[in-house]
Parts: sequence; C-alpha cells; structure tokens
Amino acid sequence: MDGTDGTTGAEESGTQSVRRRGALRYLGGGALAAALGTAGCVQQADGGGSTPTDMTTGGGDTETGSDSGDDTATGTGIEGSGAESVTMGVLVPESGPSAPLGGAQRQGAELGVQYVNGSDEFDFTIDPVFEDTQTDPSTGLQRAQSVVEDDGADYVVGALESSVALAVADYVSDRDVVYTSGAATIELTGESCNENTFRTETNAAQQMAGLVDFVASDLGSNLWIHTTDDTYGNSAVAQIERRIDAQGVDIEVVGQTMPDKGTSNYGPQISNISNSEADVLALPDTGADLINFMKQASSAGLTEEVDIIGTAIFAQVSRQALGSDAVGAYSSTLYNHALETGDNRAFVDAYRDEYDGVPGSFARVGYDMVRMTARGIQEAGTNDPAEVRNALEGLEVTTALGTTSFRACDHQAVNPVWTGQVVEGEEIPGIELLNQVSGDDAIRPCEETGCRL
Amino acid sequence: MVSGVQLLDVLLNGLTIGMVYVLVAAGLSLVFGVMGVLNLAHGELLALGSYFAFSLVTGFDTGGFWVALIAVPLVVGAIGAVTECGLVNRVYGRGQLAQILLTFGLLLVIYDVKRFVWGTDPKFYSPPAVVDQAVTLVGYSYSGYSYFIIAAGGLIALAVWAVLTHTRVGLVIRAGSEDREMVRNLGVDIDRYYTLVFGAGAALAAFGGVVLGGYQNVSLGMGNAVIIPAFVIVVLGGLGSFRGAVVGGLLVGIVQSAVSTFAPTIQGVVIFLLMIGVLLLRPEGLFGGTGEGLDAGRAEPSEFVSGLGGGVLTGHGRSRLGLAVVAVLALVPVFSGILYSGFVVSLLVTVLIWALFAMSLDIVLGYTGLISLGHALFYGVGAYATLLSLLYVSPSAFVALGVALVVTATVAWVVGHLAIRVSGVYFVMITLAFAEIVRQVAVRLDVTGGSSGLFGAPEPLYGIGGVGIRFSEVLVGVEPFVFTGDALFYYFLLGVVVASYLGVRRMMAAPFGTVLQAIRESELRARFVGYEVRSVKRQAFVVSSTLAGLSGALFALYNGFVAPDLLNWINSGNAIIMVVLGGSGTLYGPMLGAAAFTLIERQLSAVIPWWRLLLGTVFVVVVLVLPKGLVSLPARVRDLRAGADGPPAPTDEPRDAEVGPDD
Repeated sequence: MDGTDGTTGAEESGTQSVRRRGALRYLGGGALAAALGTAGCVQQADGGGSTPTDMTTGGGDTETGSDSGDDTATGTGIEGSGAESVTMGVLVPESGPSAPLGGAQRQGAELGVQYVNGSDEFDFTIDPVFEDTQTDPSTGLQRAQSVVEDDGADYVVGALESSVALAVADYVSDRDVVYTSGAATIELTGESCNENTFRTETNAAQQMAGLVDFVASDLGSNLWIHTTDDTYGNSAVAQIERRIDAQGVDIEVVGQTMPDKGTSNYGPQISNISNSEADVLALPDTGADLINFMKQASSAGLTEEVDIIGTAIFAQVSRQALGSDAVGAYSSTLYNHALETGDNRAFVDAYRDEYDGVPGSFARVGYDMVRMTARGIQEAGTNDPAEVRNALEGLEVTTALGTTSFRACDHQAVNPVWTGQVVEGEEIPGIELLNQVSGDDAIRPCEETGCRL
Repeated sequence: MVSGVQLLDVLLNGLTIGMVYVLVAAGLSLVFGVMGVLNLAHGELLALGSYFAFSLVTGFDTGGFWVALIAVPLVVGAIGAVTECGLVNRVYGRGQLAQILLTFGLLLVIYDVKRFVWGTDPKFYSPPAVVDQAVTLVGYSYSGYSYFIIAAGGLIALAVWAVLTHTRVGLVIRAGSEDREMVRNLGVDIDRYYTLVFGAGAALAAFGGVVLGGYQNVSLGMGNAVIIPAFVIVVLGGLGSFRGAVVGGLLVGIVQSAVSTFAPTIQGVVIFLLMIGVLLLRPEGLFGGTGEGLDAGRAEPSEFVSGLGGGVLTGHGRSRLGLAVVAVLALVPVFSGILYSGFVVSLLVTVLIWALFAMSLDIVLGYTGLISLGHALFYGVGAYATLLSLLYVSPSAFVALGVALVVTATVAWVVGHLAIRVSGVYFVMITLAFAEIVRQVAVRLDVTGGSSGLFGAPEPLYGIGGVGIRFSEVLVGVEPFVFTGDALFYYFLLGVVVASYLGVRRMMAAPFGTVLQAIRESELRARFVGYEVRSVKRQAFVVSSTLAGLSGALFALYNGFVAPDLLNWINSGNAIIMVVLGGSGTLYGPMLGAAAFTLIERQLSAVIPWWRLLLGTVFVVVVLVLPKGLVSLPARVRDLRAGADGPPAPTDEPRDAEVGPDD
C-alpha cells in the first residue's frame, strides 16, 4: 500500500461537524450531505446513491476518517510526518480472580508499547489506553466500547477470560476495529472466529497437541483427565481426545473428573483418581483451582502414585505457589524466560530492567500482542484497520517465541509448544525443557477449526 | 462397585470441608438468632483470618501457624466486636434491608482493605509439616491435614456447645435467640451480650479461615465463595440454632463430597436442591422448631420503605421533575459526538437497562416486602430466551421480546408458586437457590453455550415477518437530527423504560397496588380482611419477574450475547442495593439508585482503584444518615436546615433507630 498523503482525511473530518458514528459507516464522506438532504423520516442507508465507490479508500488514498467519527487523537496516514500516534486499547482484568495474570499481561503490553515507541522500525507511536475488564463479559464489553467509542481506538488488544474475549470479538466483528487477543479459549479462532480478530496466545488445541505427544512418547497409556468444568476445561478435554484420535497413539482415557470452578475440596476427585488404574494424570487446569488441587493431591500422596502433566504448572505463579509440591511434575510449556528463540533475550532483559524478576507466559503474550499488531500497521503503511487486517494475515514476524505468523484461515498465531519438567530451583522450582513440538505440527489443520474465513 | 475405602474417603472429605462450614455457619447463625442481623460480611471475616494467618506464617515460619490459630481469632474477634459497637448496633430492629445494605457496605470496605494490604495475587501458606503429610492408619492412607481440620474444628464446636449449654452467658444467648423481648422483660440486659456474640462469631469465622487457608489458597474471592454455602447451611439447620449449624454444615459437606464422587453432574446444584426440599417440607429449617419468636419468618422492610410518598416531593413537582429528566435523556444522543463521545449513549443504555431491572425488583421488594435474591434468574432467562429466539426462531426483535416475556412469566409463575410458601429470610434463600440452579443448568447445557455463553446473534430486525428495520441500516430524522444504530436503540429503550414505569405506577396506584402495600404492612391483617395473600403475592412476583425478564431481553438485544454471568447472584444483590440505595417503594428511587450505582461501578472503577471502598462507605453512610435512600436527600437536607434554624423537626427523623431491637 503506497499511501501518498495524510491530508484528505483531516480535511474531510473537518466538514463533518455533525458526526454520526453509524451513519458514516455506510456513507462515504462525500455522499453524506446528499444522502442526508434527501432523507425522509426513515431511509435505507445503503440506497440513495451511496455506493461503495463513493468510499474513498481506493487509489492510494489512505483516508480513514469515514469509518468512525470518533477518532480524535489519530491522524490518518502514517507516512510522511513520522510522529503519528495510533490509539490502542489494552483490556486486561485487573480485579477479580484473574487479576494477577491480567497484571502480568499488562506489564508485557507496556513493554511492547515501549518497544514500538522506542524503535525506529516503526513510523508511528502507540498511544495506549488501559482498561480493567474485571471478570464478566458485560464489563469487558463496556470497556471495549469505551476505548473504541470514547478514546477512538481502532486497535484493541488483550482480554484473558474466555467469555470476555468472545464478547470483545463479537463487538469488533461488525466494526472497523482490529482485535488481537490474549485469551486461550479455542472458539476465538474456531467457530466464533471473525475477520477482525487475531490471537497471539497459543490456543488450547496447540497446547494439548504437545501434551498428548509427550504422554504417548514418555509417560504411559492409561490417562486420567482432571480439569475444571469451564470453557477452557471442556475444550481441553475435547482437544486431548481429538489429538489422541488424530495421531492414533496408544493412550486410553480411563476416566475424568471435572469439578466446578472454585471448588475448595478436591478430596473426592483425588480419591477417584487414586482408586483407578490411571498411571498418568493430565491436568489442563489453571489459576487457584490448579494450585488447590496440586496442594491437596500432594498432601494426599497422589503425586507419588501417578505422573502428572499439567498445562499451567510451568507458569511462574504456579511454581512459586506450589514450591516443592510441584517438583517432578511435567507441564506442557508455552513460554520460558530461558528460551533462546526469536528476540526473547532482549525481551527478558527489558523486563528485568523494568520490573525485576523474569517474565512469564502472560507477560510474553502481552508483549507480543502489541508488537504483532504494530508490525501489521507498519506493513500496511496505514492505520486503516481494514488494510491492517489484510496485512496481518500470514505476515511473518519475529516474536519472543521465534518467527511466527497469524494463519490466514483462522488468525491463530502459529506458536510452537514445549514440554518441561519442574526441577528443584534456587528460590522457586525451575523448569527443565525436554522437547519441542513445532508450530506447524501442533496447530490443527484449517479444515478442523470450524472457522470460515 | 463402591468399596469401603471409597466410602471412607467420601466421609472424611465431607467432614473436612464440612467442619469449615460449621465454623462459619455457627457464627452467622448465632448472630442472626440473637440480634436478627444477616451479616453478609461474615465471609470477609473468614478471609481476613486467612490473610492474617498468611502474614504470620510467612513472618514466623511454621511456628507462626500455631500462633495464628490462637491469635488470629482473637484479633478478628476484636475487629468484629468493634464493628458491632460502632456500626452494626445502629441497624438493630431496622429490618433486613438496612442490614443488607450496611453489611454489604462493610463487605466492600473489608475487601478493598485486604486488596490494599496484601495485593491481588493469591497467597499460599503451608501448615507445619507435622500435620501436612499423608497419614497411614491400618493400611489406609489419608491427608493428615484433613484429620487436623476435622479434629480442631470438632474441638472448637464442642467448646462452643459447652459454653452455650453450661454457662450463664450461654443460657442468655440461647434464650435471646428464642425470644429477645422476653429475655429483656425478665430484666436481663441482653444488649450487652450483642458485642460478645458478634465478636465470637467473627472469631469462629477467622479460625475457619486460618485452617482453610492452609488447605487451599488465600485469595480475595474466598469470602465470597464461602458465604453462600454458609447461608444455605444456616437456613437448612434453622436460623439461630447452633445445633442446626453443626448438623447442617457436616451434612452439606458430606453430601457435596458424595455427589462429586458419584454424580458429578449435579454437584453445583445439590446443596440448593437440598435447601429447597427442606424448606418446602419444613419451612423453619431442620432445627428451627421454635421459630415463632424469631422475626426470620417475617419480612421487615422497615422504615426504608414506609412513609415516603409525599415526603419527598409533591406529586405535581415530581411529575414535572420526571418529565424534565426524560427530556434531558431524550436530548443525549443529539449532542453525542459533539459535546461528548458516543460512549455516553452506550453507558446510558446500560444505566437504563439496570434502572428497569431495579424498578422491577421494587414491585416485590418495596411494595410487597418480599426480598428476592434471585431476580437475576429472570434477568438472565429473559436474555437467554431473547438470544435463542434471535438465533433459532426469527431475527425479529419483537418476536424475541415476546418469547422472552412469555418464558420469564412462565418460569416466574412456577418459581413463585413454590417460593411464596415461605417468607422472610427463607424467601431470600429459596429465590437465591432457584437462581443458582438455573445458572448451573445454563453452564451445563450445550444449547445455552455452556460456561462461555452464546455469541454472534444476528442483528435484530425491528418488525415482524421479514418486514421491518435494522437500526444500523436506517437513518431516522432530518438534518441535523439524524439518528442510527445505538442512538435508535437508545430511543427504543427509553420508550420501553418510560412506558414500563408509567404502567407499573398506574398498577401500584390501582387497588392491586394498595393490597400489596397492605400485605407489606401486615400480612395477617390483609388475610383477615379477606385477601388471598399468597395469590396476590404471586401475581406481584410474576409481574415483577416479567419486567426483570424484559430488562434482560433488552440487554441481549443491545449486546448480542449472553453469558452465565448474567444469572450470577451478584446481579440480584446489586439490584437490591440499587433499590435500597435509591429508596424502595417509590419506583423512581430504585432507578436513581441504579444510575448512581452503575456510574460508580462502571465509570469510577476505571479512574479510582479503591472504588469498592468508596461504594461501601456510601452504603454505610446512606444506612446511617439517609435511611430512606437517596430520594430522601432533599427532605433530609431540609430537616437538617430546619434543625439548625429552629427546633428540630420531630417527624421523619430516624431517631427510632437508636431505640434498639424490637421483636
């Protein structure tokens, strides 16, 4: 895209002193006056002589003013001036049960913004707006509306909880807003995918692929699955079973337990597992549920009886909380600060300088979701979300996990996954990486995603 | 095949968590029995205990745990006692609504204080290694810490029982929970015991917190997680009965354990099914036999609802003010994008939906005196019905609204039929139980989208049979007043809300509304006069619930998604708070409360990190200073000014609050 100048849009928005958000989405700026003049009481907006050719997006014109009357901070083209700023809404949960993870994601996102604003690879700067989604989708949606409609953001990144991410994705689906998600729920790049939604986080299917392959090759064949009865847990179980079938490996799922979220007593489930013939326990569980289960499993002696392989035990917060209770457990691993992939070293250094300590997976996602979106804007040469959306598809970018891209068919980042084992460490137990499944091997084939893009 | 080992596992698992429940429920039950106070902040006291224990264990290593077991209950007990002296004693005898608002305010304040001191990260501490290892007895291995919890909890419960049955203090407390007035008439100054009971209840909860914290993590949400089971247990066992709390706690623990082992699909709903069953068969709970003296069975809406009407504004002035408000609201989209961003319209849509929801609750709460903690059920059902109709029946918004109204009215009739049989606190809990059951079903079923909900509804068509308009595709009006999309929905919503308000106001002024108020004032007299009290209550419940369903339906139409969070009891709680905050029994008061609450929660929370502390403080201040809610603010200010200029105004003053509890 060879943008020529950035003046057209500014001029146009000057004439639109009365701005009507929805109306402008359907009417090109030039057609507006005519259409309104002939407006009776009720009128079909896409009739009345307003045709797509009236929209001034072709011919090298980078004007973006007509998509939304609200962008006050942003200019239009990014070429030429060199100091344009792009408003980006960063939505993370900062209160409620996911607050610690959201906090990490926000730290990463802040570093990502610093990276973009401090680098001369980008012709623009990012002006971030941080909002707290809390835990429920209505609040999350309200926050998305706030950053898009109030702050004029054309780019939204983040969200962690499944339903919040799905609500935000649903909101951007019929707007010219690009959403780069930090949530893991499978539907986001499956049945509920849409052309404006991308995902930097590794999804449950990719992670379960790594887990199943490792169980088959190294651990055993009688598998018990324990998880929480929520979206993530259900999709994890489905993906484990799918991968077992798809690879034809010799694993039998001998049972599963799925208590409710927030269960405080896992005694019944631990007894069930202990009394079964399972030799491997898959534990696709996160947060407090994982910690509580592992603590009680360790106290009841279950960790001695079966090999445990989790999906979030690798996370720093889990290892810190569990201490010696986690040692010996395996974990499918999405990120580790010791990885030598991509520009991870620089990321870890930047993180150390800013916050002390080393980054975890959520910080990695926060960092890369901002940077990947920025790469798309740079590649498109404009901050028009429609152009950026096209540029992002299949664009090869360097991330902390190595070179990856958003796959065109479902907009999922093609991230590799690792398997690690928790070992004794200095202050908190460490992770020793055992194997890696490449991004292309771990990701589901396009036709199985249920996404039609 | 169920083995003996498995049964032993089930039993021990159940006793472990059951013992924690006993510790929490015992304090809750005694406080209710003796003082008639529903303490929503009780769970936060437990969490406070865990946090203190965490600090002690990290500070003094394993020795800290043993210190914590003794010291933390004393500290938290003292905090409880001070709170009772300073705040809670102001609401005795002022009815459950005042107590709910006050203790909810305290809950928010304690929550934020914990957040300040300990941060949002969950904390972990391990009990000393002596008790934290698997213990093998006769070839049977089980967690040593569970044995410890069972033993420690059992000892404490035994000690409390001994005090209650073998000391004079215990005698007075037991007598007080039977009949306060009689105890006072006998010349015992029972008020002195209140501080003691409240402090002891807090200490028991804190002890529960210390042992529970070693078993799981210490997080901000743990108080919230334990308060609902605790209330269920208290109601199940019988309000005010210590024996009931012990038996109920252990029973719920064991039943939960057995169900999650043998029938995991119903694990979330089983305690609610149990409670509904017990309440329908034995409405006073298992051990609440002599409940006559308790005001548990009586709804006591208190001065929060009585004597409003003319006190606030004259009828004429009120309708003029109302018209002015509607006119201002109608102008909002006109300047959207000029004076302020379009987000203001989105925000007001949320406010209006909540205003309708709060107003619907006021019909049962303010006019009939029934406190429903299950109104989110109808809000959620309305939303789910709307979205399912849009997805599978027709894209027509009107069809969806019709479906939603019919479905919620039907559900409300069924729930009302069962729930109206009990009253007072029992009604609060049974409505909560139905709401929780429906939420669990929504999480389990595929057709409702499971735990993430349903997304991606087609844009609703405002019309029928394919003829109609989509708001985002039309322009309405003439330049410069042209509206589309959100603005059109806003006007549609504003119309629905105003029409609902006028309709309900008409209904409340009609004989039906008068009967409702008569029931609120005295159910017994209303029955003597010859009214079918239950039937009238049920009608009110159905009307109220259907309106709540309408507000949920509008939410779904606007947002295009639904999630199980809509059915969360927190939404029911928020609606009660809005009603009480604004001024119940006035219809417009709750709407005002909804606006204040939503703006604080949604907007201030983005700016002020300690908004919960602020909101909680507002609640406490409203209870203490504005007992009739925000709508009484003008009258209150007038009174105060009159009081400063001349003799204090004798009427309308909340002085009776200090008199102490009546029956």
